[in-house]
Amino acid sequence: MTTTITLATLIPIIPILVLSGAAVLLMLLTAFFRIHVLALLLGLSATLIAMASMSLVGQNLPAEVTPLLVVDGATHFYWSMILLSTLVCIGISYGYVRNAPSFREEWYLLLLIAACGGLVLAASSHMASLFIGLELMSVPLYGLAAFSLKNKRSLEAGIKYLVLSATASAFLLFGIAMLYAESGTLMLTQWLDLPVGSPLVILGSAMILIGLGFKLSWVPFHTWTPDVYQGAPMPVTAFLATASKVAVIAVLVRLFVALPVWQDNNFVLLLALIAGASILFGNLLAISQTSLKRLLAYSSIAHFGYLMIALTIVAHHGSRSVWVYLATYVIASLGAFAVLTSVTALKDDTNGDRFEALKGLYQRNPLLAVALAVCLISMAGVPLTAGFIGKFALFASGVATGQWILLLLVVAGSAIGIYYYLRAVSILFQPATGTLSERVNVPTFNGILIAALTFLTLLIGVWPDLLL
Amino acid sequence: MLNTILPWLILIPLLAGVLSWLSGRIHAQAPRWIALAGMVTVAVLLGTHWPSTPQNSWWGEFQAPWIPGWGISFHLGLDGLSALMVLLAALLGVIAVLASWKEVQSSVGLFHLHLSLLLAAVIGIFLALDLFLFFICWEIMLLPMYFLITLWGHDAEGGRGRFHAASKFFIYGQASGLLMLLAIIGLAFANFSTTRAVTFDYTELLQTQLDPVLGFTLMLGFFIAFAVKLPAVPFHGWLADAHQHAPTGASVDITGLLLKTSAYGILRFCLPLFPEASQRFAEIAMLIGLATVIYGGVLAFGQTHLKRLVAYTSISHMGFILIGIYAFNAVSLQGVVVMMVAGALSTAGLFVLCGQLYERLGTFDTREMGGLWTRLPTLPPIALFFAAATLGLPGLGNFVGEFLVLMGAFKVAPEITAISTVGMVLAAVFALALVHRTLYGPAKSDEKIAAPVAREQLALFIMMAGLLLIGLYPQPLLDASAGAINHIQQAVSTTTATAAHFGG
Repeated sequence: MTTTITLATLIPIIPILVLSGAAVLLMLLTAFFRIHVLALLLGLSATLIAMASMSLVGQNLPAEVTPLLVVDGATHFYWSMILLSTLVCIGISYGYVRNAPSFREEWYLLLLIAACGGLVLAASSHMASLFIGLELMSVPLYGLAAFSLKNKRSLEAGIKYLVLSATASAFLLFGIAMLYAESGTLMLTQWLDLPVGSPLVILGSAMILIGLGFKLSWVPFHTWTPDVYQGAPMPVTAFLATASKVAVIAVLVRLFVALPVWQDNNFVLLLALIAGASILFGNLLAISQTSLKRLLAYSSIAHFGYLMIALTIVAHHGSRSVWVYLATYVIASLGAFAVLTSVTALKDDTNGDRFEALKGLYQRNPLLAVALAVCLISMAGVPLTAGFIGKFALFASGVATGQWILLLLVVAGSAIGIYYYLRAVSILFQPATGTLSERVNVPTFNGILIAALTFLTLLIGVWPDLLL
Repeated sequence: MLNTILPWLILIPLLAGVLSWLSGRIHAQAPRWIALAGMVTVAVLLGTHWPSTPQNSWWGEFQAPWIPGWGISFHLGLDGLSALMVLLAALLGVIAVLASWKEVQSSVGLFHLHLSLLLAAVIGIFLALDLFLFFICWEIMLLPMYFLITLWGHDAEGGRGRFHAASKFFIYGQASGLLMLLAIIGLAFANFSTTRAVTFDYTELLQTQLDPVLGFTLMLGFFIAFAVKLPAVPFHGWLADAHQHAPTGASVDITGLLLKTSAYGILRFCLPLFPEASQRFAEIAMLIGLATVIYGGVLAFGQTHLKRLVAYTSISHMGFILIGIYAFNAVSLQGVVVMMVAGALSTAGLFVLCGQLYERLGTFDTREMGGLWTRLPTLPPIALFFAAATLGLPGLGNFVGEFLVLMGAFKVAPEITAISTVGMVLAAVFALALVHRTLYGPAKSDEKIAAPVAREQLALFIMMAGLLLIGLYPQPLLDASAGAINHIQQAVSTTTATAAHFGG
């Protein structure tokens, strides 16, 4: 099979081209001049151009770009989410990277490459592009997680993520190999008629699930999450929590549609067990955390447990609920991380996320405190914020398919979630004490991003038609 | 005319709240006046549009598109029942602002923002005719109350602190609320499966045909949410703790508004949406009510913390309301409405008194009080008045309500009603114990205590006048709610007729 590549076939993947072009340019630039602001501006403008080109991409849907990539409505949505996350992560980096002793420009380079990997992953329709995308996204993140070389926690985070991620990739590859052995093809679309009962297929798809489940930190593959979230620099944690997860969800949705064996009763039971365990563990362990980063790590475990309700039914009921939930989660998470970065950027990163450091934020900067409160309340799923709309979509698909036990678990999980989210919120409004009472100043661009994300969280909550 | 003011009833407190928050920077007292003005405006707006002859159907409706994709609209409706409740809400809002005038001194603007948000949400509950909108208001209501307790509450000695109490309150509310959300979605899907139209509209969902098992399950989802907020035994764990730690204004709103939203919810949603299931559930619900009456009464007697004592008396009252609702006859349902209004006033009055005593004595412990009659002018006779109202003295509002409830319920379930009168005896016991422990007996010291100022007296006199009015001339109140009550009563009793018909 030969495919001729013309300029027209490249239009749908302009965002990928823009980001990789920017990465090459930045690499060359860094070789000659090391100017931090220039690197930042290049990263920002590349992401913005890629976002702008999304409208062009939207006109040519659906399109297959070589057998490796498919750009359809779903890809369009996931790409928008990944680009939004990248924009925010780059935008909030300035204050943090400015204080880094060296390698400031590489920070943006690595982020751009990771984002590029995310885009490839989200569009992949072939196991080769899937694997390339996954690694392209993960490898820069090892470096980014360990960016604060002097900080033990950060190094630990980098190494932990590297080792466990590599293990997960091995599982994934093994699984792909098994399915290849059975079907003789790596094309996702041709896996539809894999025999459901074959042991090779069952084992193979289970291994793929493990490999990808690691990235989403489903229980029992979650152990890396709190340490890496806490140790990694704040903008990297934000990227891990949003863009990286969106890309993996994109692939999972495609696999759920393509692999009939995942609709099998035993498999569905297994998925339900994973979801239930994630909801319970994530929420229960989040209760006793005293670091907001760790709290968000555990709560993200629970969030992706909730998402399973909508994920298992995408083959028959479409992935609308997944999208709604994902979008609301991403926006609120980005907002929360953007605020946290602003609060802690100027200080040593090790303790900035602890609850004590956030005490009295309302007096130190009322707008920041309100923004963080809105984002956390949205994650808790309180009405009139985006998070509630996500939860409502999830409930609707759960009721439609009669997944009552999981739904009751979500109810229980949300009740626990309320406890720790609101505890964090009420800390923001308590009187400030001691040394931590000076005003928090926010760089203008950070401020704009935070305001936009908070506004979006409320807007979707009040006017959900925007998202539907 | 009435149609266009409905959204304003929600918007005005909302705007007043935001304004009072912003005005906190200009002048320290401004937030209080703005919040007060907002609540008075709501009352006046509704009062001036009060129909001279209450009709049977909706007095006014307002509908605007909101989320067409899910069949959700911004649908508000006002009938006699909701009009009374909105008026009560506005009145208690005023009382809450007056009661916090001296107590709340930190972040005054933020406090009144929360108070006004709470009021807007509660009014939203009373007006909502779309189940999605109703649920949103129902959940939103928890949030300001949570912050009122955590940020302005008291940390009681020996307790686990106000954060613990507020979390307990929120978790009870959230968990039960989400169960109701599941039931709401379930109902919408049941409707969808027959009509092929996605809608959350109350009037359309009323037509839903449900098979008995599904109907009963969904009804339970609603009932549990309401029973938690009522609160009925065994879901009452949050109430006393919340009251103990809440500032006075919040306490007034918890008993006066939050608890009444649940009784309203049962009347408006649980019975008409699930008539058959409610019929089958009636006996259990009445037994729960009975348990609540007696349990609340017994616990009230044992309390030494003034606010916990009053909290348990309100639990006991709510038990009567539950019995009255599930008796399904017009007399008892009318009694329930009277009890809701009068109970809100009398308990809120007691909480305001608690707050005023605390401001003077610095304690809620009844063992530290005693002999106040000789030390304190004006307040003791007022306290006596509210205690008498709580125990159901004829001539005051609560008596009318209890009398109607018992009269109506006796026809349906004589045994339960007879036993529940024990609750009235208990009410007399705990009300007199309250008066006895605080007002009479030897004084703890001879020191005089400052008399209440005009603002404090005003708050109390408003409620006393209301209780007297209802007690002596309840007819206007009964007239206003008659139409709505008849509707609800018919919705349930037609089913009995058909059920009996088919059964026979």
